[in-house]
Amino acid sequence: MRLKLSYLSRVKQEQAMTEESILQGCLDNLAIAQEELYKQFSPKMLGVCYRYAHNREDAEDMLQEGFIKVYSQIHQFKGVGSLEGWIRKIIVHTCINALKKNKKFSDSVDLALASTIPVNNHNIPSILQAKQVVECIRLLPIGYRTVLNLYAVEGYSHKEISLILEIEESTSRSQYTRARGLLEDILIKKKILQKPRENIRMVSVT
Amino acid sequence: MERRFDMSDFEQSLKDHADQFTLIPSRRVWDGIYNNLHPGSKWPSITVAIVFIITLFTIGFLNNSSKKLSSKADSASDAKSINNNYLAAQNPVASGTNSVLANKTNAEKNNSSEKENGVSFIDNKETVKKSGNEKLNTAVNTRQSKAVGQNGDQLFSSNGKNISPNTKRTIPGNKIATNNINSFNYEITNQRIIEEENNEILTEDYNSFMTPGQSLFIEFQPTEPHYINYKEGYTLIKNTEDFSSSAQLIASSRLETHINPLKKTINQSKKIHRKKNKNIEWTYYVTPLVSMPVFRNSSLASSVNFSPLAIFQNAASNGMIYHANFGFEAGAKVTYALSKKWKVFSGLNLNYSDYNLVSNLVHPTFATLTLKDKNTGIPYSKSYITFYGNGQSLNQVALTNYSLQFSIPIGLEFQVWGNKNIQISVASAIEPSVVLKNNSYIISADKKYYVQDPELMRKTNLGGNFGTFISFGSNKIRWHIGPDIHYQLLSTYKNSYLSEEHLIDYGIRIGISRKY
Repeated sequence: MRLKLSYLSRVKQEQAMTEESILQGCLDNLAIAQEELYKQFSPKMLGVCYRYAHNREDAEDMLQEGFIKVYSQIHQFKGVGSLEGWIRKIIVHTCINALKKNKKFSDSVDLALASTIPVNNHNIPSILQAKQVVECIRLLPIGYRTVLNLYAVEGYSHKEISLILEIEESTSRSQYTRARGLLEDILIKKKILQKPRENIRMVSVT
Repeated sequence: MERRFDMSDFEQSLKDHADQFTLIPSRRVWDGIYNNLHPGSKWPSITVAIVFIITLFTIGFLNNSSKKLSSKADSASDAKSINNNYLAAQNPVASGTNSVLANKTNAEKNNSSEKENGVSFIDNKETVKKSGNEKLNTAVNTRQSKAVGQNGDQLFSSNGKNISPNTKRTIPGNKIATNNINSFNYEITNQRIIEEENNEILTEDYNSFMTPGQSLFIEFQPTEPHYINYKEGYTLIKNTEDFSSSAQLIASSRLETHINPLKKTINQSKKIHRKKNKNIEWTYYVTPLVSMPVFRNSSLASSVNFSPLAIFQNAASNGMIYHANFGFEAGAKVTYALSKKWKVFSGLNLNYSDYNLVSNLVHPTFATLTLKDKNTGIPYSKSYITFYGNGQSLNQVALTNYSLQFSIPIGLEFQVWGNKNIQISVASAIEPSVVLKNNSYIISADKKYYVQDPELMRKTNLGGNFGTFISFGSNKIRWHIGPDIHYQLLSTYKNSYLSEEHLIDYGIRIGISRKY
């Protein structure tokens, strides 16, 4: 109780919750600080989870599990790098673990399946927005999607991906190449990307 | 992990866009995290529910106990009144033998009993002062103190029933007129007759009236001729033993005369109590349910002829594939008997209804709902992103539409047939309700997908309930069992959604009731 009061008074003095005060509050296991941290990072982290998950409910489950890990391991954060990056790393690993646990990752790494993905041409408007790009990524089979997310979005190397996903490095490379090709096709179909493919650039179409 | 620096434009662009993407998580995520991090405060909702149920039972119990207590108290006070009456009748005898009133112990006991009953009584001195006879007050007090001081024996038993006056150990020099005793009794009689006319004040007045050494003074009027005789000092009884026996005879005959109607009055008052209590009955019940939806087309203006609306024309063409599921209902109700056959009831009720939709996982896609503008009534479409397709496929999932509602049923009960042990009754109630929690997947305009939109859900509703049941058991505790149907009269959705969903629950209600 005393901790909470002192924390609140400190926050009041600062008039805004800084990252340090939030961190300190989380270290003291104060719900108010934990909620503040959650409010600050959860929308972005749910976006991350959503790219990996099968549906939104799964994404929310991943987010929940991820944040619980964040709070329980917050004392391990040494201030090297950004807090967001550290949280994101935990969230991504939680997503991968969830996929492994549910065997959703290994179930859909078959390339043959990728060509038969039904693409709903009429339902995605041709406006380049983050949401549309993410939705296009999510149209990929989950195996491709995971490799693409880890390599292109999170910036992991193929070696790291092979360790994380427990697959061969060459498998990671080939899956990424195929995933990228497939995504390009989808984006071009949706008129989010323009040809020629040699110099692919995303453009906004109004 | 170190960021690669060989990222192409495509990857960089992809990353930028992906990083911009945010989603607002639902409240349940934080709740889950919070409950996990702070397990101590994990149970507020359960605690509240338990407290609510306990409160409900406590109210029911207290309702019962207070009535029991009051009836007990009534009986006790009645009994006390009889005793006090008897004592009062005896008091003049005691007064005659021991000059005035009972000994200290008995007076204390009676005083304390009066205090317990919460009956205020008038102090001797004040009363006498009010009557304007200070001399009498002094005389009586003197005698009383003498009686207390000199005659330590109890003239009455501790329960105040019947005790022979200690006539042998009288205080010499005590003076009291025989006629005074009659006068006292006369006063008592008059007072009681008045009181008998008013049952409500009977007990209280009677208690205060009958306090030895006190109530007598209240009624004693210095203008009485006996008092004047006494005051003037003639017709004094010196043989206290003779006086005692004659006074006892007078007292007991008067006691007989007045105790009988009093007893009658008490019995009548008890009967009234019993009769009143018989009308109220508390019932606690639980109903396992099978829930399913009934879909109906919402009324649309005849001029509206919009093609997507065709799917809502009847429930059969709704296109939803669903399975009924189990739900429950629990609550308490208080029943008041209007007549032998008719009863009216009200209470508190918690209802959980749900059903499963047959769905399949699809890649995220846009689905459209056709809604109606609440002001103009013109249909318009609203798009949603969904993961759930309608019907069966390889990625089959079961979506659950549920509703948790708290309601206050108000209804009537009619006894169709019955004897002392078994009755068959029908009951019907209307239930205004508040939706505590719900989840509903709605079918899209093209019948291919399910979408969720909490904004379309109604927060309050109205239900109807109909049931028949058999009651059996003892007079005090009875069991009720019988089929029960609950129908949600208003749609689960707001009027802006063109289709109407009405939940219907079938169940067997099991209840236990207690009469108070």
